[in-house]
Amino acid sequence: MIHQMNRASERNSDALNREELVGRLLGNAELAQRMLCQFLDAIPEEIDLLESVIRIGDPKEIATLAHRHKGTARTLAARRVADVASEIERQAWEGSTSNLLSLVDELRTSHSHLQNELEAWAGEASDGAPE
Amino acid sequence: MSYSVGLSSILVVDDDPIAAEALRYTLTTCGYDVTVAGDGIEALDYVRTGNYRIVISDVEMPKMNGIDFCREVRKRDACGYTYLILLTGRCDTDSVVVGLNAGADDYIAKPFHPSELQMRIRAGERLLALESRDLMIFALAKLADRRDHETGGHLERIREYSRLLCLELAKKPEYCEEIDEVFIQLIYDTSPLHDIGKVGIPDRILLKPGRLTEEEFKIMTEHTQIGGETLQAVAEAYPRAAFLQMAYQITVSHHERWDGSGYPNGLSGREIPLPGRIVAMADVYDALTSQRVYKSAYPHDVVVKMIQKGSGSHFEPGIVQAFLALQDEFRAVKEHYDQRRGNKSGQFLTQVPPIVTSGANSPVMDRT
Repeated sequence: MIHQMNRASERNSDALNREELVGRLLGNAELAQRMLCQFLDAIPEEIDLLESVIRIGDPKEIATLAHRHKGTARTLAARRVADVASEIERQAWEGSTSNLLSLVDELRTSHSHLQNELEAWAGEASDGAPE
Repeated sequence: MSYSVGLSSILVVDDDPIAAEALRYTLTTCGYDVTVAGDGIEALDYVRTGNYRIVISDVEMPKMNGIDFCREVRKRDACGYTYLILLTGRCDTDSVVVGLNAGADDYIAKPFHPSELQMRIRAGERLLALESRDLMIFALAKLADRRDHETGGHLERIREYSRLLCLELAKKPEYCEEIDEVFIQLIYDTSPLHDIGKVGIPDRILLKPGRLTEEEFKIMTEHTQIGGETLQAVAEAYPRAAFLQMAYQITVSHHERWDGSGYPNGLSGREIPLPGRIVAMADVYDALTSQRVYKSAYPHDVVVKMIQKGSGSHFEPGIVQAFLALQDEFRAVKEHYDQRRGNKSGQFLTQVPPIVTSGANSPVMDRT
Protein backbone atom coordinates (compact mmCIF):
# COMPACT_ATOMS: atom_id res chain seq x y z
CA MET A 1 0.00 0.00 0.00
CA ILE A 2 2.92 2.36 0.72
CA HIS A 3 4.04 1.95 -2.87
CA GLN A 4 0.54 2.72 -4.09
CA MET A 5 0.30 5.76 -1.85
CA ASN A 6 3.60 7.14 -3.16
CA ARG A 7 2.43 6.77 -6.72
CA ALA A 8 -0.82 8.45 -5.80
CA SER A 9 0.95 11.41 -4.24
CA GLU A 10 2.74 12.03 -7.50
CA ARG A 11 -0.65 12.70 -9.06
CA ASN A 12 -2.01 15.07 -6.46
CA SER A 13 -3.27 18.35 -7.81
CA ASP A 14 -5.10 21.42 -6.69
CA ALA A 15 -8.31 19.80 -7.96
CA LEU A 16 -7.87 16.49 -6.16
CA ASN A 17 -5.49 15.17 -3.52
CA ARG A 18 -5.68 11.46 -4.20
CA GLU A 19 -3.31 10.56 -1.39
CA GLU A 20 -5.41 12.32 1.20
CA LEU A 21 -8.66 10.84 -0.09
CA VAL A 22 -7.38 7.29 -0.38
CA GLY A 23 -5.76 7.61 3.04
CA ARG A 24 -9.05 8.70 4.55
CA LEU A 25 -10.66 5.59 3.10
CA LEU A 26 -7.90 3.39 4.48
CA GLY A 27 -6.40 2.66 1.06
CA ASN A 28 -9.59 1.86 -0.81
CA ALA A 29 -9.05 3.66 -4.15
CA GLU A 30 -12.07 2.00 -5.74
CA LEU A 31 -14.38 3.40 -3.10
CA ALA A 32 -12.70 6.80 -3.46
CA GLN A 33 -13.46 6.89 -7.17
CA ARG A 34 -17.01 5.71 -6.62
CA MET A 35 -17.63 8.48 -4.10
CA LEU A 36 -16.15 11.08 -6.45
CA CYS A 37 -18.50 9.85 -9.18
CA GLN A 38 -21.43 10.15 -6.80
CA PHE A 39 -20.40 13.70 -5.93
CA LEU A 40 -19.94 14.75 -9.55
CA ASP A 41 -23.26 13.19 -10.56
CA ALA A 42 -25.09 15.28 -7.97
CA ILE A 43 -23.30 18.51 -8.84
CA PRO A 44 -25.45 19.92 -11.69
CA GLU A 45 -28.54 19.84 -9.53
CA GLU A 46 -26.73 21.33 -6.53
CA ILE A 47 -25.23 24.13 -8.60
CA ASP A 48 -28.59 24.96 -10.15
CA LEU A 49 -30.08 25.14 -6.70
CA LEU A 50 -27.26 27.35 -5.47
CA GLU A 51 -27.65 29.65 -8.42
CA SER A 52 -31.40 29.91 -7.80
CA VAL A 53 -31.01 30.94 -4.17
CA ILE A 54 -28.34 33.47 -5.16
CA ARG A 55 -30.79 35.00 -7.63
CA ILE A 56 -33.51 34.98 -4.97
CA GLY A 57 -31.03 36.67 -2.64
CA ASP A 58 -31.31 34.45 0.43
CA PRO A 59 -27.87 34.73 2.09
CA LYS A 60 -28.58 32.19 4.83
CA GLU A 61 -29.70 29.54 2.37
CA ILE A 62 -26.74 30.34 0.09
CA ALA A 63 -24.36 29.91 3.02
CA THR A 64 -26.03 26.66 4.06
CA LEU A 65 -25.78 25.14 0.58
CA ALA A 66 -22.21 26.35 0.09
CA HIS A 67 -21.21 25.04 3.53
CA ARG A 68 -22.56 21.62 2.71
CA HIS A 69 -20.85 21.59 -0.67
CA LYS A 70 -17.60 22.63 0.96
CA GLY A 71 -17.90 19.83 3.53
CA THR A 72 -18.42 17.15 0.90
CA ALA A 73 -15.56 18.52 -1.22
CA ARG A 74 -13.22 18.51 1.78
CA THR A 75 -14.17 14.94 2.62
CA LEU A 76 -13.22 14.06 -0.96
CA ALA A 77 -9.99 16.09 -0.79
CA ALA A 78 -11.23 18.21 -3.71
CA ARG A 79 -9.42 21.31 -2.51
CA ARG A 80 -10.22 23.79 -5.27
CA VAL A 81 -13.95 23.05 -5.15
CA ALA A 82 -13.87 23.32 -1.36
CA ASP A 83 -12.03 26.66 -1.50
CA VAL A 84 -14.50 28.19 -3.94
CA ALA A 85 -17.48 26.89 -1.95
CA SER A 86 -15.89 28.27 1.20
CA GLU A 87 -15.54 31.68 -0.42
CA ILE A 88 -19.21 31.63 -1.46
CA GLU A 89 -20.18 30.74 2.10
CA ARG A 90 -18.02 33.51 3.56
CA GLN A 91 -19.38 36.18 1.24
CA ALA A 92 -22.95 35.02 1.85
CA TRP A 93 -22.52 35.34 5.62
CA GLU A 94 -21.06 38.80 5.12
CA GLY A 95 -24.07 39.73 2.99
CA SER A 96 -21.87 40.44 0.01
CA THR A 97 -23.83 38.86 -2.84
CA SER A 98 -22.67 40.87 -5.87
CA ASN A 99 -19.80 38.54 -6.73
CA LEU A 100 -21.53 35.26 -6.02
CA LEU A 101 -22.66 34.40 -9.55
CA SER A 102 -19.12 34.70 -10.85
CA LEU A 103 -17.99 32.43 -8.02
CA VAL A 104 -20.60 29.91 -9.12
CA ASP A 105 -18.99 29.97 -12.57
CA GLU A 106 -15.65 29.38 -10.90
CA LEU A 107 -17.22 26.49 -9.02
CA ARG A 108 -18.37 24.97 -12.32
CA THR A 109 -14.85 25.27 -13.71
CA SER A 110 -13.46 23.60 -10.59
CA HIS A 111 -15.94 20.77 -10.97
CA SER A 112 -14.86 20.36 -14.56
CA HIS A 113 -11.22 20.05 -13.45
CA LEU A 114 -12.24 17.54 -10.83
CA GLN A 115 -14.13 15.55 -13.47
CA ASN A 116 -10.98 15.52 -15.61
CA GLU A 117 -8.90 14.34 -12.67
CA LEU A 118 -11.32 11.54 -11.98
CA GLU A 119 -11.37 10.44 -15.61
CA ALA A 120 -7.58 10.45 -15.72
CA TRP A 121 -7.47 8.40 -12.54
CA ALA A 122 -10.05 5.93 -13.83
CA GLY A 123 -8.08 5.65 -17.10
CA GLU A 124 -4.90 4.83 -15.19
CA ALA A 125 -6.74 2.20 -13.21
CA SER A 126 -8.21 0.57 -16.33
CA ASP A 127 -4.74 0.61 -17.95
CA GLY A 128 -3.58 -1.44 -14.98
CA ALA A 129 -1.50 1.32 -13.41
CA PRO A 130 -1.45 1.25 -9.60
CA GLU A 131 -3.32 4.09 -7.99
CA MET B 1 -2.80 1.11 11.87
CA SER B 2 -4.17 -1.20 14.55
CA TYR B 3 -7.87 -1.90 14.24
CA SER B 4 -10.34 -2.25 17.05
CA VAL B 5 -12.35 -5.44 16.74
CA GLY B 6 -15.96 -6.01 17.71
CA LEU B 7 -16.24 -3.11 20.12
CA SER B 8 -19.15 -0.72 20.04
CA SER B 9 -22.05 0.13 17.84
CA ILE B 10 -21.61 3.64 16.54
CA LEU B 11 -24.32 5.91 15.22
CA VAL B 12 -23.26 8.34 12.49
CA VAL B 13 -25.54 11.33 11.96
CA ASP B 14 -24.95 13.26 8.76
CA ASP B 15 -27.24 14.54 6.02
CA ASP B 16 -24.37 14.39 3.52
CA PRO B 17 -24.45 10.83 2.14
CA ILE B 18 -20.86 11.03 0.92
CA ALA B 19 -19.46 12.17 4.25
CA ALA B 20 -21.60 9.55 6.00
CA GLU B 21 -20.38 6.82 3.66
CA ALA B 22 -16.74 7.80 4.23
CA LEU B 23 -17.26 7.57 7.97
CA ARG B 24 -19.17 4.33 7.73
CA TYR B 25 -16.46 2.69 5.66
CA THR B 26 -13.64 3.83 7.93
CA LEU B 27 -15.40 2.84 11.13
CA THR B 28 -16.59 -0.50 9.76
CA THR B 29 -13.05 -1.31 8.68
CA CYS B 30 -11.92 -0.47 12.21
CA GLY B 31 -14.30 -3.10 13.57
CA TYR B 32 -17.30 -1.06 14.59
CA ASP B 33 -20.95 -1.68 13.82
CA VAL B 34 -22.17 1.47 12.10
CA THR B 35 -25.66 2.84 11.55
CA VAL B 36 -26.28 6.07 9.66
CA ALA B 37 -29.07 8.58 10.36
CA GLY B 38 -29.72 11.53 8.06
CA ASP B 39 -30.78 14.07 10.69
CA GLY B 40 -31.17 14.62 14.41
CA ILE B 41 -34.78 13.44 14.59
CA GLU B 42 -34.01 10.10 13.00
CA ALA B 43 -30.90 9.81 15.17
CA LEU B 44 -32.91 10.33 18.37
CA ASP B 45 -35.03 7.31 17.49
CA TYR B 46 -31.88 5.22 17.21
CA VAL B 47 -30.46 6.60 20.46
CA ARG B 48 -33.67 5.70 22.28
CA THR B 49 -33.17 2.04 21.42
CA GLY B 50 -30.22 2.09 23.82
CA ASN B 51 -28.03 0.30 21.29
CA TYR B 52 -25.69 3.20 20.56
CA ARG B 53 -23.30 4.45 23.21
CA ILE B 54 -21.12 6.44 20.81
CA VAL B 55 -22.59 8.93 18.36
CA ILE B 56 -20.71 10.97 15.77
CA SER B 57 -22.83 13.82 14.51
CA ASP B 58 -22.56 16.56 11.95
CA VAL B 59 -23.68 20.00 13.17
CA GLU B 60 -25.46 21.53 10.20
CA MET B 61 -28.38 19.31 9.33
CA PRO B 62 -32.03 19.80 8.34
CA LYS B 63 -34.95 19.17 10.74
CA MET B 64 -32.76 19.03 13.86
CA ASN B 65 -29.19 20.27 13.87
CA GLY B 66 -26.34 18.65 15.78
CA ILE B 67 -26.48 21.12 18.66
CA ASP B 68 -30.18 20.55 19.35
CA PHE B 69 -29.63 16.83 18.92
CA CYS B 70 -26.96 16.90 21.66
CA ARG B 71 -29.34 18.73 23.98
CA GLU B 72 -32.10 16.20 23.37
CA VAL B 73 -29.79 13.27 24.01
CA ARG B 74 -28.60 14.80 27.26
CA LYS B 75 -32.17 15.19 28.48
CA ARG B 76 -32.59 11.45 28.27
CA ASP B 77 -29.33 9.74 29.00
CA ALA B 78 -29.14 9.67 32.78
CA CYS B 79 -29.65 5.90 32.73
CA GLY B 80 -26.90 5.21 30.24
CA TYR B 81 -24.35 7.70 29.01
CA THR B 82 -24.09 8.43 25.30
CA TYR B 83 -20.71 9.69 24.15
CA LEU B 84 -21.28 12.46 21.61
CA ILE B 85 -18.69 13.59 19.11
CA LEU B 86 -19.46 16.53 16.86
CA LEU B 87 -17.87 16.40 13.44
CA THR B 88 -17.89 19.77 11.75
CA GLY B 89 -16.07 22.18 9.54
CA ARG B 90 -16.69 24.95 12.08
CA CYS B 91 -14.08 24.50 14.78
CA ASP B 92 -13.62 28.09 15.91
CA THR B 93 -13.71 28.64 19.68
CA ASP B 94 -17.28 29.96 19.75
CA SER B 95 -18.64 26.98 17.83
CA VAL B 96 -16.76 24.52 20.02
CA VAL B 97 -18.07 26.18 23.18
CA VAL B 98 -21.65 26.06 21.91
CA GLY B 99 -21.28 22.37 21.05
CA LEU B 100 -19.70 21.37 24.33
CA ASN B 101 -22.23 23.42 26.25
CA ALA B 102 -25.02 21.55 24.47
CA GLY B 103 -23.60 18.29 25.80
CA ALA B 104 -21.07 17.15 23.20
CA ASP B 105 -18.06 15.33 24.63
CA ASP B 106 -15.65 15.99 21.82
CA TYR B 107 -15.13 17.77 18.53
CA ILE B 108 -13.49 16.53 15.36
CA ALA B 109 -12.73 18.85 12.48
CA LYS B 110 -14.05 17.94 9.04
CA PRO B 111 -12.61 16.33 7.06
CA PHE B 112 -11.65 13.65 9.54
CA HIS B 113 -8.38 11.80 9.66
CA PRO B 114 -8.88 8.07 10.33
CA SER B 115 -6.20 7.80 13.05
CA GLU B 116 -7.51 10.83 14.90
CA LEU B 117 -11.06 9.55 14.58
CA GLN B 118 -10.08 6.22 16.07
CA MET B 119 -8.22 7.82 18.99
CA ARG B 120 -11.18 10.05 19.79
CA ILE B 121 -13.48 7.06 19.80
CA ARG B 122 -11.12 5.22 22.12
CA ALA B 123 -11.27 8.18 24.51
CA GLY B 124 -15.03 7.77 24.46
CA GLU B 125 -14.75 4.07 25.10
CA ARG B 126 -12.56 4.74 28.13
CA LEU B 127 -15.19 7.07 29.52
CA LEU B 128 -17.94 4.55 28.89
CA ALA B 129 -15.88 1.92 30.66
CA LEU B 130 -16.17 4.09 33.75
CA GLU B 131 -19.88 3.52 33.53
CA SER B 132 -19.17 -0.17 34.02
CA ARG B 133 -17.53 0.92 37.24
CA ASP B 134 -20.79 2.63 38.15
CA LEU B 135 -22.67 -0.57 37.50
CA MET B 136 -20.36 -2.35 39.92
CA ILE B 137 -21.05 0.35 42.51
CA PHE B 138 -24.74 -0.21 42.03
CA ALA B 139 -24.37 -3.98 42.31
CA LEU B 140 -22.53 -3.52 45.60
CA ALA B 141 -25.24 -1.21 46.90
CA LYS B 142 -27.88 -3.73 45.78
CA LEU B 143 -26.20 -6.47 47.72
CA ALA B 144 -26.30 -4.42 50.91
CA ASP B 145 -29.83 -3.23 50.25
CA ARG B 146 -31.23 -6.69 49.63
CA ARG B 147 -31.24 -7.51 53.32
CA ASP B 148 -33.99 -5.09 54.24
CA HIS B 149 -35.69 -4.11 50.98
CA GLU B 150 -36.71 -7.45 49.64
CA THR B 151 -39.15 -6.10 47.06
CA GLY B 152 -36.37 -4.16 45.35
CA GLY B 153 -36.62 -0.95 43.39
CA HIS B 154 -35.60 1.21 46.35
CA LEU B 155 -32.17 2.13 45.00
CA GLU B 156 -33.45 2.76 41.48
CA ARG B 157 -36.09 5.12 42.83
CA ILE B 158 -33.70 6.89 45.19
CA ARG B 159 -31.34 7.83 42.41
CA GLU B 160 -34.18 8.86 40.13
CA TYR B 161 -35.73 11.07 42.85
CA SER B 162 -32.32 12.56 43.58
CA ARG B 163 -31.75 13.32 39.92
CA LEU B 164 -35.17 14.96 39.60
CA LEU B 165 -34.54 17.13 42.66
CA CYS B 166 -31.19 18.20 41.26
CA LEU B 167 -32.66 19.16 37.91
CA GLU B 168 -35.29 21.28 39.67
CA LEU B 169 -32.87 22.84 42.14
CA ALA B 170 -30.40 23.67 39.36
CA LYS B 171 -32.96 26.13 38.00
CA LYS B 172 -32.64 28.21 41.15
CA PRO B 173 -29.88 30.79 41.60
CA GLU B 174 -28.95 29.59 45.11
CA TYR B 175 -28.18 26.08 43.85
CA CYS B 176 -27.13 26.44 40.23
CA GLU B 177 -23.50 27.19 41.11
CA GLU B 178 -23.12 23.86 42.86
CA ILE B 179 -25.48 21.68 40.86
CA ASP B 180 -24.11 21.18 37.37
CA GLU B 181 -24.24 18.18 35.06
CA VAL B 182 -21.32 16.52 36.80
CA PHE B 183 -23.01 16.90 40.19
CA ILE B 184 -26.22 15.39 38.85
CA GLN B 185 -24.45 12.43 37.31
CA LEU B 186 -22.46 11.85 40.50
CA ILE B 187 -25.51 11.94 42.74
CA TYR B 188 -27.28 9.58 40.36
CA ASP B 189 -24.36 7.17 40.50
CA THR B 190 -23.59 7.36 44.21
CA SER B 191 -26.93 7.88 45.96
CA PRO B 192 -27.61 4.11 45.92
CA LEU B 193 -24.69 3.74 48.34
CA HIS B 194 -26.41 5.80 51.03
CA ASP B 195 -27.23 2.79 53.22
CA ILE B 196 -24.18 0.68 52.48
CA GLY B 197 -23.27 0.82 56.17
CA LYS B 198 -26.28 -1.35 56.97
CA VAL B 199 -24.10 -4.35 56.20
CA GLY B 200 -22.79 -3.77 59.74
CA ILE B 201 -26.22 -3.79 61.42
CA PRO B 202 -27.41 -7.12 62.88
CA ASP B 203 -30.49 -8.74 61.31
CA ARG B 204 -32.32 -8.75 64.63
CA ILE B 205 -32.35 -4.95 64.49
CA LEU B 206 -32.41 -4.29 60.77
CA LEU B 207 -35.32 -6.63 60.16
CA LYS B 208 -37.20 -6.10 63.39
CA PRO B 209 -40.88 -5.34 62.81
CA GLY B 210 -42.19 -2.38 64.77
CA ARG B 211 -40.47 0.14 66.96
CA LEU B 212 -36.84 -0.24 68.00
CA THR B 213 -35.72 0.13 71.59
CA GLU B 214 -33.45 3.05 72.46
CA GLU B 215 -30.45 0.76 72.41
CA GLU B 216 -31.42 -0.85 69.10
CA PHE B 217 -32.05 2.54 67.55
CA LYS B 218 -28.61 3.70 68.66
CA ILE B 219 -27.08 0.70 66.92
CA MET B 220 -29.17 1.36 63.82
CA THR B 221 -27.90 4.94 63.59
CA GLU B 222 -24.37 3.59 63.35
CA HIS B 223 -24.97 2.56 59.74
CA THR B 224 -24.21 6.11 58.63
CA GLN B 225 -20.84 6.03 60.39
CA ILE B 226 -19.99 2.51 59.26
CA GLY B 227 -20.68 3.42 55.63
CA GLY B 228 -19.10 6.85 56.00
CA GLU B 229 -15.89 5.56 57.54
CA THR B 230 -15.57 2.87 54.89
CA LEU B 231 -16.04 5.29 52.03
CA GLN B 232 -13.87 7.93 53.66
CA ALA B 233 -10.99 5.49 53.88
CA VAL B 234 -11.33 4.68 50.20
CA ALA B 235 -11.75 8.36 49.29
CA GLU B 236 -8.52 9.21 51.12
CA ALA B 237 -6.70 6.53 49.18
CA TYR B 238 -8.10 7.87 45.90
CA PRO B 239 -8.46 11.62 46.47
CA ARG B 240 -9.07 12.38 42.79
CA ALA B 241 -12.16 10.17 42.64
CA ALA B 242 -14.94 12.74 43.01
CA PHE B 243 -17.60 10.05 43.14
CA LEU B 244 -16.09 8.66 46.36
CA GLN B 245 -16.23 12.10 47.96
CA MET B 246 -19.88 12.44 47.10
CA ALA B 247 -20.68 8.87 48.13
CA TYR B 248 -19.06 9.59 51.49
CA GLN B 249 -21.01 12.82 51.97
CA ILE B 250 -24.30 11.15 51.15
CA THR B 251 -23.69 8.11 53.32
CA VAL B 252 -22.64 10.04 56.38
CA SER B 253 -25.15 12.90 56.16
CA HIS B 254 -28.43 11.64 54.74
CA HIS B 255 -29.91 11.28 58.25
CA GLU B 256 -28.92 14.76 59.35
CA ARG B 257 -31.80 17.20 59.70
CA TRP B 258 -32.06 20.84 58.72
CA ASP B 259 -32.75 21.87 62.35
CA GLY B 260 -29.77 19.93 63.74
CA SER B 261 -31.75 17.13 65.34
CA GLY B 262 -30.53 14.37 63.03
CA TYR B 263 -27.61 11.98 63.27
CA PRO B 264 -24.73 11.09 63.38
CA ASN B 265 -23.18 14.55 63.84
CA GLY B 266 -26.16 16.80 64.57
CA LEU B 267 -25.27 19.08 61.67
CA SER B 268 -27.77 21.77 60.77
CA GLY B 269 -28.65 23.94 57.78
CA ARG B 270 -25.97 24.24 55.17
CA GLU B 271 -23.45 22.48 57.39
CA ILE B 272 -25.08 19.38 55.95
CA PRO B 273 -23.56 18.67 52.53
CA LEU B 274 -26.02 19.39 49.73
CA PRO B 275 -25.96 15.80 48.39
CA GLY B 276 -26.96 14.60 51.87
CA ARG B 277 -29.83 17.09 52.06
CA ILE B 278 -31.13 16.00 48.66
CA VAL B 279 -30.85 12.27 49.27
CA ALA B 280 -32.52 12.73 52.67
CA MET B 281 -35.63 13.93 50.87
CA ALA B 282 -35.49 11.15 48.28
CA ASP B 283 -34.93 8.50 50.93
CA VAL B 284 -37.74 9.65 53.21
CA TYR B 285 -40.23 9.94 50.35
CA ASP B 286 -39.38 6.43 49.25
CA ALA B 287 -39.50 5.00 52.77
CA LEU B 288 -42.89 6.53 53.44
CA THR B 289 -44.47 5.42 50.18
CA SER B 290 -43.11 1.87 50.50
CA GLN B 291 -44.04 -1.03 52.69
CA ARG B 292 -41.35 -2.18 55.11
CA VAL B 293 -41.15 -4.89 57.74
CA TYR B 294 -41.94 -2.33 60.41
CA LYS B 295 -44.66 -0.34 58.62
CA SER B 296 -47.21 -0.15 55.84
CA ALA B 297 -46.98 2.26 52.93
CA TYR B 298 -48.52 5.73 52.99
CA PRO B 299 -50.32 7.09 49.93
CA HIS B 300 -48.50 9.74 47.94
CA ASP B 301 -50.83 12.59 48.96
CA VAL B 302 -50.36 11.81 52.65
CA VAL B 303 -46.59 11.73 52.20
CA VAL B 304 -46.64 15.10 50.48
CA LYS B 305 -48.33 16.58 53.54
CA MET B 306 -45.85 14.91 55.86
CA ILE B 307 -42.93 16.32 53.92
CA GLN B 308 -44.51 19.77 53.85
CA LYS B 309 -44.79 19.62 57.64
CA GLY B 310 -41.13 18.70 57.85
CA SER B 311 -40.01 21.80 55.95
CA GLY B 312 -37.55 23.81 58.03
CA SER B 313 -37.24 21.06 60.65
CA HIS B 314 -36.38 17.81 58.95
CA PHE B 315 -35.83 19.16 55.46
CA GLU B 316 -34.31 22.23 53.87
CA PRO B 317 -37.20 24.49 52.79
CA GLY B 318 -35.75 25.01 49.31
CA ILE B 319 -35.62 21.28 48.72
CA VAL B 320 -39.19 20.88 49.97
CA GLN B 321 -40.24 23.52 47.44
CA ALA B 322 -38.47 21.59 44.71
CA PHE B 323 -40.18 18.41 45.86
CA LEU B 324 -43.60 20.08 45.79
CA ALA B 325 -42.93 21.27 42.25
CA LEU B 326 -41.97 17.73 41.31
CA GLN B 327 -44.56 15.75 43.22
CA ASP B 328 -46.28 14.43 40.09
CA GLU B 329 -42.94 13.23 38.75
CA PHE B 330 -42.18 11.53 42.07
CA ARG B 331 -45.49 9.74 41.94
CA ALA B 332 -44.85 8.72 38.33
CA VAL B 333 -41.44 7.28 39.22
CA LYS B 334 -42.94 5.34 42.08
CA GLU B 335 -45.73 3.98 39.88
CA HIS B 336 -43.30 3.15 37.10
CA TYR B 337 -41.15 0.97 39.34
CA ASP B 338 -44.18 -0.60 41.00
CA GLN B 339 -45.57 -1.57 37.60
CA ARG B 340 -42.21 -2.84 36.38
CA ARG B 341 -41.97 -5.20 39.29
CA GLY B 342 -45.65 -6.04 39.42
CA ASN B 343 -45.64 -4.66 42.96
CA LYS B 344 -48.32 -2.95 44.87
CA SER B 345 -47.18 -0.61 47.56
CA GLY B 346 -48.80 -2.89 50.09
CA GLN B 347 -51.44 -1.93 52.59
CA PHE B 348 -51.77 1.83 52.88
CA LEU B 349 -51.84 3.82 56.08
CA THR B 350 -53.91 6.91 55.59
CA GLN B 351 -53.43 8.76 58.84
CA VAL B 352 -50.61 11.29 58.93
CA PRO B 353 -48.29 10.42 61.80
CA PRO B 354 -46.78 13.20 63.88
CA ILE B 355 -43.49 14.53 62.58
CA VAL B 356 -40.81 13.81 65.14
CA THR B 357 -38.46 16.74 65.17
CA SER B 358 -35.98 15.43 67.69
CA GLY B 359 -33.51 12.69 67.01
CA ALA B 360 -35.82 10.24 68.71
CA ASN B 361 -36.91 6.92 67.34
CA SER B 362 -39.60 7.67 64.81
CA PRO B 363 -40.63 4.44 63.13
CA VAL B 364 -41.28 6.09 59.80
CA MET B 365 -38.74 8.85 59.40
CA ASP B 366 -35.59 7.44 60.94
CA ARG B 367 -35.61 3.87 59.74
CA THR B 368 -35.13 4.67 56.10
